[in-house]
Amino acid sequence: MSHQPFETWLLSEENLDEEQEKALQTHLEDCRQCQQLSHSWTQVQSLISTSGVPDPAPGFSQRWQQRLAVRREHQQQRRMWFLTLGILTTALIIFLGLAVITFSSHSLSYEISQTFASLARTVAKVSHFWEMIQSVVQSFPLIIPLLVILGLGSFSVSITLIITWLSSLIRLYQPVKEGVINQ
Amino acid sequence: MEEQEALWITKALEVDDSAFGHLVEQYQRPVFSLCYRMLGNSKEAEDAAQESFLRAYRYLKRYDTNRSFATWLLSIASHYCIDQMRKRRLDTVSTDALPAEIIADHNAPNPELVFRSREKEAMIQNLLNTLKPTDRAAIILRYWYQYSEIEIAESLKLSVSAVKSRLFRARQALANGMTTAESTLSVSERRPDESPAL
Repeated sequence: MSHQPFETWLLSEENLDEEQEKALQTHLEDCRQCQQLSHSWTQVQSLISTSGVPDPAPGFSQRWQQRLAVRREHQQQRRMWFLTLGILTTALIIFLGLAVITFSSHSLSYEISQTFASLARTVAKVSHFWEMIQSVVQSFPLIIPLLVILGLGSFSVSITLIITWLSSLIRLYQPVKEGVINQ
Repeated sequence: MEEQEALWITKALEVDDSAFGHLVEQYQRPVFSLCYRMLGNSKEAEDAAQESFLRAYRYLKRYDTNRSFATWLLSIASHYCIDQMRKRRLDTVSTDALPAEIIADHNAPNPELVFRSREKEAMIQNLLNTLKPTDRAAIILRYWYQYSEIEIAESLKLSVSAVKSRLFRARQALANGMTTAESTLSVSERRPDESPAL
């Protein structure tokens, strides 16, 4: 059995017209579930209407005044705590700042700058050496043929000179021998 | 009274503690009652009511004088209680925790009537404790303070349709809770008639 819209009518507290009221009563005669719902809701309403209004214990207003005083004291203490914390933090920041400035103005900064300078110099030397190697390697296609030509030329000249020297030696010895024979 | 209240508010805005003290005196009962219904016990209700007044005093400059001061105050108390319930997860509170001095019925000198009154209070509080914080606040404002759905929406910062749906869901939960409570009660009442052999 469908309980809608009767369940809604029972609990929505909207004013029902005559026809709706009649339909609801007819449904309630047959439906035990909706009867129970209607009965229970009526019981709840009755309980609410007869329930008393609980009173606070006497002296509520005085207790509120005391609580207000305590709360203000706590707020004051908190404000003081934050103020102290703020002052201490500011002092610490100033102290640390001054310490950094003091240490950085003497040997420490000089040492650091020198280390950086020598490091930069080393890097520059390595870079220069590397560039030199690169330029030599790049010029190989021009130098090698030239060296080969020069080498071959030198070798040829040397061989020619040696042959000339040997042939002249041979010529020098031959007439002496011929003269000795002729005598 | 409204003129007097406006005067107290004006003075309280100038940080006059005694002027706000008058407002505390005037509204302590409804604020405490709301907190009690929301939280389910007097100790936490006292704490929440006190805190609500402190917040109201602190943020008094935000109060719109065109609105009702009571509505604004109860709105602060409702939100505070909802936050507390979410933090502490007070889903259920035992009826044993309900203090006798709070739920005493002043019109009932008869001990039996006092007992019945306490039983009723415990039952309604247990039913309220089954609701979600915002639903509970909506029901309390609707039935204990006779707020309209628009006023509830303003107090809890919800739309009117959201209030309607929350109220419907809460009524359903309360009715179902009552059905369960009644069936449990009828079972426990039958026990004395049962056979001693059982």
